[in-house]
Amino acid sequence: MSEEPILLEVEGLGKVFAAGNALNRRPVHAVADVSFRIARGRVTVIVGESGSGKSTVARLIARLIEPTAGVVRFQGEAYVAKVRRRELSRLRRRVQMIFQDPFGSLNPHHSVGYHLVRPLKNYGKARAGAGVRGRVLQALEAVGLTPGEDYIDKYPHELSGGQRQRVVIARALIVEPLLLLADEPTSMLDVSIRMGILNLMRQLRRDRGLSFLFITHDLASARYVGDDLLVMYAGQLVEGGPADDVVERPAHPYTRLLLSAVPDVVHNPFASDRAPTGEPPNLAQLPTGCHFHPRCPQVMEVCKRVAPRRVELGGGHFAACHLNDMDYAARQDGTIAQEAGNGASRRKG
Amino acid sequence: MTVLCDIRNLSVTYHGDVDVKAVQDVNLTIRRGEIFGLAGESGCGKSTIVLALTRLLDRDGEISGGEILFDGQDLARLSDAGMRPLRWSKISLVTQSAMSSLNPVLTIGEQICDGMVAHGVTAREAWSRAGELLRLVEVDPGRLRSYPHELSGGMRQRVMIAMALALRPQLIVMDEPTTALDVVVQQQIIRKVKELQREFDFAVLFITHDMSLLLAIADRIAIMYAGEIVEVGVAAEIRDAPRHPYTKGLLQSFPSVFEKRELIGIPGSPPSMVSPPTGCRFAPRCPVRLDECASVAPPTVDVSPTHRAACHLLGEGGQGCV
Repeated sequence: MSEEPILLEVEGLGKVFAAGNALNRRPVHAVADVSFRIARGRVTVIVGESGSGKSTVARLIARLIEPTAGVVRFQGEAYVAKVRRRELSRLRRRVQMIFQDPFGSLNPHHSVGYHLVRPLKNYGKARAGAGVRGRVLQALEAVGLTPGEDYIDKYPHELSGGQRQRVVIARALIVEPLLLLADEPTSMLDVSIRMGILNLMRQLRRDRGLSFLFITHDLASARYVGDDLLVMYAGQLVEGGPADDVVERPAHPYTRLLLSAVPDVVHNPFASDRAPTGEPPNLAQLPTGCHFHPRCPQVMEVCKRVAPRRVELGGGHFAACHLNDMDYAARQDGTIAQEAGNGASRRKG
Repeated sequence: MTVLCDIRNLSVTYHGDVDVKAVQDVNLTIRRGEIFGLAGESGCGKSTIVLALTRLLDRDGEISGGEILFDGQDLARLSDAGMRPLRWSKISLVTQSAMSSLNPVLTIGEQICDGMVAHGVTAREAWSRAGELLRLVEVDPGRLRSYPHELSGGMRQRVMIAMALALRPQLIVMDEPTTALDVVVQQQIIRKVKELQREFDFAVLFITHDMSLLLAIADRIAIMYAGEIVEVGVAAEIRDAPRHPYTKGLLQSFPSVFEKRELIGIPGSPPSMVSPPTGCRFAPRCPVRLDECASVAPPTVDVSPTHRAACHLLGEGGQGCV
């Protein structure tokens, strides 16, 4: 996707949650076979509807939950199924996470300063003593809380939602991570405040070369901050690549469906006659073949039985759809036709 | 189009340790058969207007001034008993969270019928109408015997719309009806609402913070800030020629998927309603404020026959922030 060195590499990442009870086990396939890379200094955005598994991917990378398949490599170091505490601490110093709810992420009993000093202590960076206050002030000013002295002794309830989210970002930045995982950091903020946080992300990328994995359901924000876009549906990546390519030349019917539904200042999604149908599938009972086939306007016979492969479309743009892989689809379809031919009735076409 | 609901100088006060005037001198008209959009951020008073209009304010909330003329009656002065015959039959309400608007221990059918039976429809008739209503919103009528938890979020919201339609009201108030839904489901629901509206000719008061959604669906739009209406106009006027700096800032706060442009948002945060700023309430955050903005409240100026805004920059032939 770019010339920059690869910071994070995710390969075949999967997570199956065990749901149901002893008599009725229903494994939920939250994330399946997710692979992508994040280059240094780039903002990669995962978009998808609720339940698509996008937050689970972020949590798997941060090791808040254990993956059931796949490898996460950070700067070439692999983090496979079981990770030791020390390794985990090494990872978390370089990969920090911020969450949706700036109210739930800060302890109401502690001051802003306390929240920012804690990570320094946790990662053994607070020995210098006198330098600590300076670093806290610096971190506050880096996120636009200037002058830092005005904020360092405040408590969360004295801050607005946008200011709290800035404190949360400052806390993540203070250990100088290379990658920030941001799970819907703006969706609970008021619209007029939201832009400030999105612009802050862009500024941190520009000035510090910080990389982001930004999880959102809002395509407009995704386009605004994202260099690369990944589209998730029912636990899988269906399309990805440079944001401009994906938005201007979407190659997967689901991406086209999402784009057609976004209300936008320059595009009215209610003007066209075609209405989308259906809803995302139940992750405990996924459709066979391509998970999107029951809703796909261009569905073919092969889509119902064979899962599509990921096909490179050039310039780092990829999609997992038979429409971009017709030779493979035809071969698979041929096999299906043969199998059907061996049965009682012969399929035509 | 004739006026269906005329809100005049409406003020709402919440009583507590300190009294908070959440809505201040609001003037709005909703015409028959239109989609009227009301936009603003959380705490600006848009939901309070909904509660005043539907007379659902709790004990602490009081309509402290003004009138709400609806179909010849002043709703602001009606007693609870006087309001009851209007609920569902003249005005109905669809809220953000269908999850909490539906009773989890009653079936969908029982809940749709409840309102109709209360308005004198026989139980048998109500049940058959409930089936038709579900068909209207494209939910399988077999779902009448389902409980809310068995339905997806989008389906629950469709059920709410079916319920709102049951007695063919003239006005359906929709308070952030699609905020909790995904974009694709949102599009499905909004299309359905527009289709039903063409068929049954009701008016919609649509409340949301999402300007891009509102610009796509509303006929006219009002922008609210800190308890006051700062601008009202036809959707195209608001989109193409906003005259209030807040409206402009709000439009500048929504990135577009299809167009890459630099956006600035609005600096600062909305004021506390306990002690709102004197003069123009937006002045502390306004990038183009004048000296008088801090002390004198701006007058509301007609920009066109359908478009008005309250900003000092519009005074004495000024063009506002163009």
